[in-house]
Amino acid sequence: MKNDKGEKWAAQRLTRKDFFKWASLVLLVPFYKLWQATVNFEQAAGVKERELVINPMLNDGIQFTDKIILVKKSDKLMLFSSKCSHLGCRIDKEENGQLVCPCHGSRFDLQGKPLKGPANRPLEKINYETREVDGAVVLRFKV
Amino acid sequence: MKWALHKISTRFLKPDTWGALALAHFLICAVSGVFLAIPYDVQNAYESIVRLLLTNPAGSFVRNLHYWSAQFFLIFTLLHTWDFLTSGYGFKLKKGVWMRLVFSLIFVFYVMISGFILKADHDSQQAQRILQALVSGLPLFGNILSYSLIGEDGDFQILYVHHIATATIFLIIVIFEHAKTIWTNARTFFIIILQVSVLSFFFRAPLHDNLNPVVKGPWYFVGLQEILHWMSHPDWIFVLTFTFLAIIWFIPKTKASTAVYLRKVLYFSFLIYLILTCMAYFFRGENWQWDWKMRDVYFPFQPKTVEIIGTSDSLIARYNHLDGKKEGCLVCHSEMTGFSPAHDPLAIGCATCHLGDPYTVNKTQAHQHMVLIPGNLGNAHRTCGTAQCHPEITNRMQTSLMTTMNGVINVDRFVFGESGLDEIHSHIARIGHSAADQHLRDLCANCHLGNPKTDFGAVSQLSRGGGCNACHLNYSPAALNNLQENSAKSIEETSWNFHPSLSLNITDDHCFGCHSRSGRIATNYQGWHETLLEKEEVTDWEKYHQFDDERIFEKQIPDVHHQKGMACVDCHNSYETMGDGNLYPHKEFQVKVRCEDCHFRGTPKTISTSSLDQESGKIAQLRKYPADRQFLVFEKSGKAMLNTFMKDDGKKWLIAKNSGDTLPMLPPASACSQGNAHKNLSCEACHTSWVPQCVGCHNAYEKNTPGFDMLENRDKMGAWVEFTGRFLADLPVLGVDERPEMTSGKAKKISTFANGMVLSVDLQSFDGKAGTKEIFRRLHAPVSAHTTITKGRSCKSCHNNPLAIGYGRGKLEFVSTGNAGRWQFTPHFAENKHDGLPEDAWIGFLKEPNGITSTRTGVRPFNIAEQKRMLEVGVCLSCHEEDSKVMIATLEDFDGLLRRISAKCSIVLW
Repeated sequence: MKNDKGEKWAAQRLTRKDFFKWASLVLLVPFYKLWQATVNFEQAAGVKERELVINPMLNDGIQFTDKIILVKKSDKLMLFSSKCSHLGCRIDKEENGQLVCPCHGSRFDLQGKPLKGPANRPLEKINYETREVDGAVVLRFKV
Repeated sequence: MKWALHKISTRFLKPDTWGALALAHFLICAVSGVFLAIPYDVQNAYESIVRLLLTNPAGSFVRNLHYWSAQFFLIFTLLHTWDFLTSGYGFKLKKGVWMRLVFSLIFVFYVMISGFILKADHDSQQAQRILQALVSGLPLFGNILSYSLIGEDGDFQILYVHHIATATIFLIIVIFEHAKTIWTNARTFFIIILQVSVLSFFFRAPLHDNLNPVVKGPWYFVGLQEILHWMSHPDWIFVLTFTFLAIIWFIPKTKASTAVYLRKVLYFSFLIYLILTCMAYFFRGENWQWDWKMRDVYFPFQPKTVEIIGTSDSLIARYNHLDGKKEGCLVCHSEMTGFSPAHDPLAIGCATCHLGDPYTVNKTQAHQHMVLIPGNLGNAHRTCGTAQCHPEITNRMQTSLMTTMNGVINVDRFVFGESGLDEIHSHIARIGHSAADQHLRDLCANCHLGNPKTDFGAVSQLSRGGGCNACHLNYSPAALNNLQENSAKSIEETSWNFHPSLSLNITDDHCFGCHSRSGRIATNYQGWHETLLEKEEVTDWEKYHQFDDERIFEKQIPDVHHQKGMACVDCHNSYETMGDGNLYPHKEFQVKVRCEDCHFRGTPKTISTSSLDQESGKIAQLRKYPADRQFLVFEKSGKAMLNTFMKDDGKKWLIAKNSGDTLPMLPPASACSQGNAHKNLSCEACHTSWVPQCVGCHNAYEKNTPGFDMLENRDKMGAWVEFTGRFLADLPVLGVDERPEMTSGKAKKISTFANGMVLSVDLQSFDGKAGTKEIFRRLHAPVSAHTTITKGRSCKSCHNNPLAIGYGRGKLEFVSTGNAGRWQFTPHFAENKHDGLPEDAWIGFLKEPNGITSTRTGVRPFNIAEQKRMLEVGVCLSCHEEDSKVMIATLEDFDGLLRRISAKCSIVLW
C-alpha cells in the first residue's frame, strides 16, 4: 500500500527536466518585461524634441522634410507627420494640391484628410510651439 | 542532343538537391557578407555603397556576389520547402525541428529584407518605414518587436546587427539542426560559386538612384506591395502570413488527402502571387499608378559589368576630391561650367537631369540610358520633375494649353464638322487621323510643349516645343562655340566644357517659334505683319524683314509695351504659361492678366513677400526682388505680379524682367471712362492698332504632295494644303463677348475679333467619297492682337467703319436727302458663293447674326439693334468733329441728345 502510494507520487512528481522547462518559461515573463522596459526607454529617448527654423516671410505652399510636412496657407501653418497613415511611407510629393504617397498611391488634401485609398485615416497632425529667435521663426515639436 | 541537355541541366543547372543548392548560396552569401562589412559604413550607408561602386571594383563584385547568392538562397529555400512538402524526402522531422524550420521562413525573409534596407537608398528607406508600420501593427508586442528588429526610422544600426548576426546565426542553427551539416559538397559549391560569379560580373546588385520617383520593394515583396495597395487595413496581412505558415506546418502532419488539398491551396496562392508580382514589377509606376511603359524605366537586368582591372588611381583621387555631390559623372565632368546657380552640378549632380548611371566611372556604362536633352515632357517627370526638384510644375504643365492644344483641336474639329463647340478636353498627343486631326498633324501639331527637342542648340525661330527647354534654355556664346566646335568632331574627340544654362531668362525669342504663327502675336508685338511676298519681290528692306523660316514680314506699328522694353514674360507669369493645374477650353481662359491689372485708378490690392505662394516666392528670390516689396496682384488669379511694386507714395512701377528697366504703370486716360456710352468696351477695342487678317482661305488635301506629320515628326505622302487669298493688317473687327469669365461682372463686353476661320474645306479631296460636301465656315475668333497703342482709335474708325461693325471692308456712307437719309454699304470684296456675304464679312449689312458665328460659344457679332446704335452715332460723326462738344455730349446721354437734335440734322431711315 505504502509502496503503491510512493509509486503514484513518484509518477506525479515533477521531473528535473520539466522543472527547468517550466522555470524557464516563468523566467520569460521578467525577461519580457526587461525587454519591454529597454525598448520603451530607447523609444522614449528616440522621440526627440525637434526644432525647425523657418523664414518669417515663408511663402504659402508645402515644404517636405524627412519627418514632417509643413503646409502654409494664408498665415496658417500646419505640421503633419510625413508618414503615410496607411503604412508609414514617407510622403514627399505634392500633385495638384494633393499630398501623394509614392509607395501605395494614397492621396491626402492639404488638411491631411485622405482623398484616395488605401489610406483611410488622416495624416497625423503635429502640434508645435513657435518662438522668434533673431528674426527667424522657430517651430518646436515632438516627432 | 537530348542527352547533352540532360547532362547540362543535371550537372550544371541543378547539380544537387534544392536544399544543398540553397545551402551553397547561403555559404557564399555569409562569406561575401563578411568581406562586405569592411567598406560598409552603417552611419553613412548609402554613401559608402556609392563609394564602393565607384572606387572599388573588387568590393562591387563582392557586393554582387552577396546580392545574387542571397536571391538564389531565397528561391532555392522555397523550392526546397516545396519539395519537402510534396515528396517528404522519405523521413519525418521532429516536431520541434519542423516548427523551427517553418518559423525560420520568416527569418529567411527578414534577413533578405534587412539586406534590402541596409543599402539605404530611396526604396530602402521607404521599405524600412513600411516594415516598421507593419510589424507595429501586430497585437500586444508589435511595437517592441518593431523597435527591436527594425530600429528607428533612418537608423540602420539594429537592423545591421540582426542582419549579420542574429538572423544569420538563427538560420545556421536551423540549417544544422535539420540537415546535420553546414557544408555542402565541393562539386556543388564549385558549380554554384561559378554560376554566381558569372552573374555577379555582369549584373550589378540594384541601388536606387534616389531620382527615379518609382518606389518599389524587393522583387519578392512587390506582389505584397500590390496587395497592400488594395488593403486599407494592412494588419490583415499577418493573418494571411500565419495562415500560410500554419498550412506549411500542418501538411506533413496531416493525412494524405488533406495534404493534397492544402498543397493545392499553396500552389494556387503562389500562382496568384506570381501574377501580382509580375504586374507590380513591370507595370506599376510612379505613385503606384498603372503604367505600361514601366518596363523601360524599371528593368533591372541590364548588364552592368564589374571593371575587372580596377579603377585607376587618378579617377579615385578625383572622386575623393569632389567638393559636391559624389557621383561618377563628376569624376570626368567636374570642369563643366555655365550653369545657373540652382543647377550647379556640385549641388545636384549630373544624373539628376541627364540620368544615365551615376554609380560607375566606366564611360560607356555611365552613359547608358542617358537623357541627352532633359526637360522634354516625355522625360520631365524623371528629370526636371523629380521629387526634390520641380514635380508640381511638370505635373501642372500637362494641363497647360501650351501642352494640350485643347482650344486649337476643338476649333479645328468643329470647323471640319467632326464635333460641336462643346468644351471637351482634348490633348494633341491623343489626336487620331480624321480629316481634322490630319489637318492638325499637317499644319499645327508641332507647336506644343510636348513636342520633344531632339537637337542640341539654342532655342531659335525655327524651334517648336521642347518641354521645359522651350522657355528656360539659354546658350551663352561660350556654350554655342563649344557646341559648334564639337559638332564637327567624332564622338571620341569631343570635349564638352560649357553647358547651356536653365534659368528664368526667358526672352521673346523663346516664344517666337510657336507664337509667330496663327494669331502671330509674337510678330505683331514686334510690329511685323506677315505677307505673301517672295524674297525677290522685296525692294525696300527698310520696310520688310525676312525671318529665319523665310517668311517676309512688313513693318507695322509695334506694341507700345514692346517699345518700352517689356517682354512676353512681363505680363504672362508662370501660372499662365505652365498652367495652373486647371484644364481650360481656350487661351483667353488660361490667360489671367488684364490691361486693368496695371492701368487703373485708385488703390490697388497688394501682397507682401511673406504672403506669396511658394513658386512666386522662389521666383522673387531668384530675381533678387527686395523682401519688403509690396507686389500688385492679378485680379483674376489672385497671384502676385512679381515684377510690379507700389512705393510708399502710392505710385506703381513695373520692372521689365529682361531689360531691368523700371517703368511707371500709368492710369488710363480720363476719356476711357468718360460717360456711360463706352462702359462695355474692352481696352483692346480702342487700343489695338492692327490685327493680321486673311481673306479667302481654302483648304484641300493633296494626296500626292509630300507631307510631314508634325505630331510624329516623320515624312509622309499626302498633306492638307492651305490656300490664302490675301494677308491684311487692319483694325480689328468688334463684337460682343457675353461669357461671364470675360466680362468682369458686366452683361457684355465689346471685344476685338478677327476673321480667323472664314474658309472652305474640300473634304472630298481627303476621303475621296463622291458627294462629300465642301464645308464652308464664317467664324470670327476673339483676338488679343498684342498691337497696343497709347492713343485709342478714332470714333469714326468704329462708328463709320464697316470692318469694325462686321460688314467687311467697303464703302459705308450715309446718303442723306433733306433731313433724312439711309446708310448704304458697298463691299470691297466679292460675295462668297456659299453664303452670299462679302469674303471678309462677319455679318450681313444690317442683318441679324444667324447660327454659329464664332469659334467660341458666348460671343457674337453685333445684332441689328447694336448695329443701328453704332450707325446712329456714325450719322452724327458724318458732320460733327470727333472732339466737338456735341460728340462729347453723346458719351453722357445720347438718347437725350437725339431728342434735342436741330433741324439741320438728318435722321436715319432704316
